[in-house]
Amino acid sequence: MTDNRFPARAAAVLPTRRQLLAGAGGVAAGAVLAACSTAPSGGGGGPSGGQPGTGATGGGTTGGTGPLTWWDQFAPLQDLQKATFQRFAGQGGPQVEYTVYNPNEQGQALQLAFSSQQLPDVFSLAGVGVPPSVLMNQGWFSPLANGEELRSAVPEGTLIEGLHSFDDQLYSFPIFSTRQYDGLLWYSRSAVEAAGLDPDTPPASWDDLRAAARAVQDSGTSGLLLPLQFGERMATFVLELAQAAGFPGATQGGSNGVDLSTGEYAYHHDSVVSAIEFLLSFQTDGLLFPASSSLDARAGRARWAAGGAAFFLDGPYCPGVVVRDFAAFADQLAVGALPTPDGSAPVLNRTPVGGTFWVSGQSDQVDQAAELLALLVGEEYQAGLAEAMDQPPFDLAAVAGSGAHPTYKRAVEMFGEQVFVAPAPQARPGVTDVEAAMGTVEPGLGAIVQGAFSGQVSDVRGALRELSDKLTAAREKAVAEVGGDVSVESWAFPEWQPGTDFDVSGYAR
Amino acid sequence: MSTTTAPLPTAAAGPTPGADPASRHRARQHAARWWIYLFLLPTAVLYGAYTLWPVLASWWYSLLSWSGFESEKTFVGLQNYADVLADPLFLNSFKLTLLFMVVTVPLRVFAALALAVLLNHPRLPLQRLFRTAFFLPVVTTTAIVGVVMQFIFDPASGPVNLALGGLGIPPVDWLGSPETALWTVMVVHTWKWLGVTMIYWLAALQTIPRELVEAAQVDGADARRTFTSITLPLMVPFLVIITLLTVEQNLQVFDLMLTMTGGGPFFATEVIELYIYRWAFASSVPQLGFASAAAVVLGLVLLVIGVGQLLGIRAARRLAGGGR
Amino acid sequence: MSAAAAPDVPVRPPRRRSPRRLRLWLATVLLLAVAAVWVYPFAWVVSASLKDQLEVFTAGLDLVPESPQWGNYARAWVDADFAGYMLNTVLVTVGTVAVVVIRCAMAGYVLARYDFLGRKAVLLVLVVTLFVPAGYTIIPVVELTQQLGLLNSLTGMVVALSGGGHVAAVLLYMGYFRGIPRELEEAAVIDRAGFFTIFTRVMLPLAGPVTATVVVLTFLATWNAFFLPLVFTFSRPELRTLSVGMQAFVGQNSVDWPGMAAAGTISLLPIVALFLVLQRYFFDGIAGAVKS
Repeated sequence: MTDNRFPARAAAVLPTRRQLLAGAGGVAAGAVLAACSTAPSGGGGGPSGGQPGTGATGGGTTGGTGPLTWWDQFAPLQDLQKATFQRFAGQGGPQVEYTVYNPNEQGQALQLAFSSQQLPDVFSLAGVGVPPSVLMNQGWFSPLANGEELRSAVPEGTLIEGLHSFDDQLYSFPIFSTRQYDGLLWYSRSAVEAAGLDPDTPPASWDDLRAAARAVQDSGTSGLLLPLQFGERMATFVLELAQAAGFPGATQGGSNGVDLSTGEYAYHHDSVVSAIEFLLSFQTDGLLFPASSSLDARAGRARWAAGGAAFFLDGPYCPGVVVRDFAAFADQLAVGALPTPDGSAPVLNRTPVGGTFWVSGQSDQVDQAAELLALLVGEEYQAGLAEAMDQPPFDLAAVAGSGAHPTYKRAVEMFGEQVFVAPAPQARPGVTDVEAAMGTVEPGLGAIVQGAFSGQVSDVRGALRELSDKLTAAREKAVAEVGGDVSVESWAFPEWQPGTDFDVSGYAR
Repeated sequence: MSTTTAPLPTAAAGPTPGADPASRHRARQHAARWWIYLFLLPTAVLYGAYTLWPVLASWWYSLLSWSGFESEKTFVGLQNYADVLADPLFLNSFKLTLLFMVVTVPLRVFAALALAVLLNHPRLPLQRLFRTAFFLPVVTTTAIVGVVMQFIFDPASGPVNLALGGLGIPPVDWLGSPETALWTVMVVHTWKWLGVTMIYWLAALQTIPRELVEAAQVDGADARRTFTSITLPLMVPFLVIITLLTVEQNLQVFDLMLTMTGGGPFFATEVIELYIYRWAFASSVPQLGFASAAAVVLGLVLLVIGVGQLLGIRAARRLAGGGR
Repeated sequence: MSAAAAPDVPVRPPRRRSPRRLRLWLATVLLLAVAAVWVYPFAWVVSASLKDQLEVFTAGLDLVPESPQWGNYARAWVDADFAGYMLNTVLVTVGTVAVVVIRCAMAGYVLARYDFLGRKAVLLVLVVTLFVPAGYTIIPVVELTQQLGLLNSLTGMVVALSGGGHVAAVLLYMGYFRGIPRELEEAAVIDRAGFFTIFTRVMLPLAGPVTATVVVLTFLATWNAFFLPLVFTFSRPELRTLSVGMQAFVGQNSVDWPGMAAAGTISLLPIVALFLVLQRYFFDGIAGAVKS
């Protein structure tokens, strides 16, 4: 600053700083900063990439060069993805720049990347609540040129117009199976044994689980651990338990809380109330791990694996985490089905799982991206999914012969028997537009469950009724805005019988 | 450093200082005119682009219905404002922010004063050690603080509850229960930032002339009297400034709250920053227009506080002037 | 905690010798206890950084790990790229501090010593926006940065961090420059020194104490900055700063707590070292904010 020639620089203080930083970066930072100077060209900054808002749904372009960029949130699949990308490069495809996100962050990252024309070539939709069809209309995606090849590779009935394909063009496909649920009853063999219970017969009814938790609690360990801080997961548990108690609907994909026989919101249904009351009873009876209220699923799983509690509700991905992070606990791991009020095997209905990966509408290498995606429907990748023990692969048969943990195999076996494919209202015209126009209604089911546990929501049924009412009002308003064919009837499938697989042909009304 | 002539920060909005009427000076000023604007340029550009423009832009956004995922923006007039003000959760977060301020600002200011008075004792051993210890949290990244504190306040195996258990007190679910969560974050926030306020007070205490204290002692005043009749009155002008600095800092609790509670349980710690963040980013369907409207409402309230501060500073200066 | 206890033990210049001693010792013991509570979380971080996943949860109050897991540090430094995050943080902090000092000193100088058209308007705008906290306005900031082609670069982060706020720094400089006697400047003018030379040779060196204050306050704010670096690096995780990088340990289904603790320790060490070496400047700098 004592430099006499400073005036010249003062006028251009910004470029000076910039050059200074770039210079320092080049010298000191090497690779790290070199990467930053090439920032705009890396991802989706393709020159003619689909301009958002132009209504063009044609998506990106071909002919670009350089690495493909890929974002997803599937940390457990990291090794599998890397191996697959290598295989792809080995076949002459471009390199893949791969980033694993924390799921919450990824939604925000995509939001910003889209508006700044920097969408990665391939991404999952973690943390994005807007339905794919709406995003597609905004120019988020490119269709897959090898659609026919992919269609024949995935199980029949998996792909649905309005979810995976639009105007008969395939945009995405699931790599996971629809037949799965999040409320499996995981437990520690040693803790159960120490309480004098048989570790080979998991409690099946709600009362069994309460009794088992009581026995464990009396032996000095907490009975049950619930990840109460993770509202969405708690909402899923409640909806699954409610289905086991007779809720006439399904979970996932915009059908949450909807009575699929009438199309009405039914969060205040008796089964939902009794599911919440069932979970609450563990707290009232003093059978709940004390820190539950401040734990999310990740922290909860760790605390449970560290011996904090005997029972833990969790999805099929549980053994994968235990084997990788808490290996010492792996041989203590055991699993049972979602408990039901009367102890019979649960019957759960799930709407078809959505597309996993999407090719960006801003990409300039859509063909290469589609070729890369084609690897994911192959046997090798599906077997890899089984080994990785995350969500089960759509090829459930790949699991039995894999090296997965016995509890994972057991879980998948149960999924095959207990989970049925429900109809997806989103496959009907206008439904996703209405959903997008509805926005968010707070407090939602997750928050209500949290409030019930913290004592801030004393009238659970009243809060649930209010939620149903608010959603109904929001939907009516949105239906009026969107217009067209859509009505409450679009959510109704009176001819479908819960506990059976819905036939795709039934979408036409 | 002069404490008498140097003006206080915002006082500059008042009459022009140092405008020397000498004509030679004026001539030189004229010649230097383009230099003046050149000197202002970096601030004008940077501040204009990164502070003023965003404020104006968020006013505009607040009139739109826009999710951020879509490129479509619809003009909806004042609808967002009506929605924000009708949302009980917005009022809830506003109240929480106010409560947070009302508790933490005095807590931080007076706890730091107490600490500074202790540390200011000339014969106290281990001075450096103490200052360092109390300053350490200030330089610690909030993200780490949030994670550590979750463990420290863990209801099952956290040290706080284990220590209380040793005293026979039943475990408290510090961060998980709506009664204690906000208060726990208040304590942690104070823990994190007390060091800065402590330094402010130490600096202020240095301005007390030693002779004054010694004279009082010769007159037979005991410690309490010396404190109340000499130290305290001299500290009053500083009290105003330090409070202002603390208010500004305590408004920004976003990252700590996000990492410690995420706004829960059931919105019990959702301060206004988190509320805005939830609607702008964290919600599954973001509503940037709505979030902007909430931000504008907050901005207006802050402006009122800002004006209040201005008046406060004026008052402080009058007091300071009177004291001398 | 200290708040409740401290006022009971005011420092008394006592009349007799022995109670004075006693009180001093009491104060020392009290301060030691409070300081121990104060630094306990740091001890916990260091201890957790040497434990394994399960031990973090099972060991309770026990701070000594069974067998130190140095691998946690390797994981944090290499796999999670905290070496890179550290460098990013240092570059961003240094850049931001430099820009803020230069631009605020310049603005403060002309605002303090010259009357010009628009001066009052500038001051009014500065004061009115004094309390616009960063973060609420993140969306336009991102849009603007993106249009400038600076999103996802450290330069963009520096520009945004140094452009937002820092009104207090301008006002601090203004206050200080206003207190400098006019004669100093007049003497320089007689020496035929120009506007710019007066600023760099006479005024800026005189403002050393304010510069120290601004440097320290900006440093603390930038080093701790979370939201803006978070949003600016969504698309390019390799540009994360330390505070944002902690997120890298939070996976879809699990969190690497020991790795996080190791990363926390790594990111603490340099700043604590810096602080110990430059302690006096730190304190003087912060104290300057109050004194002037």
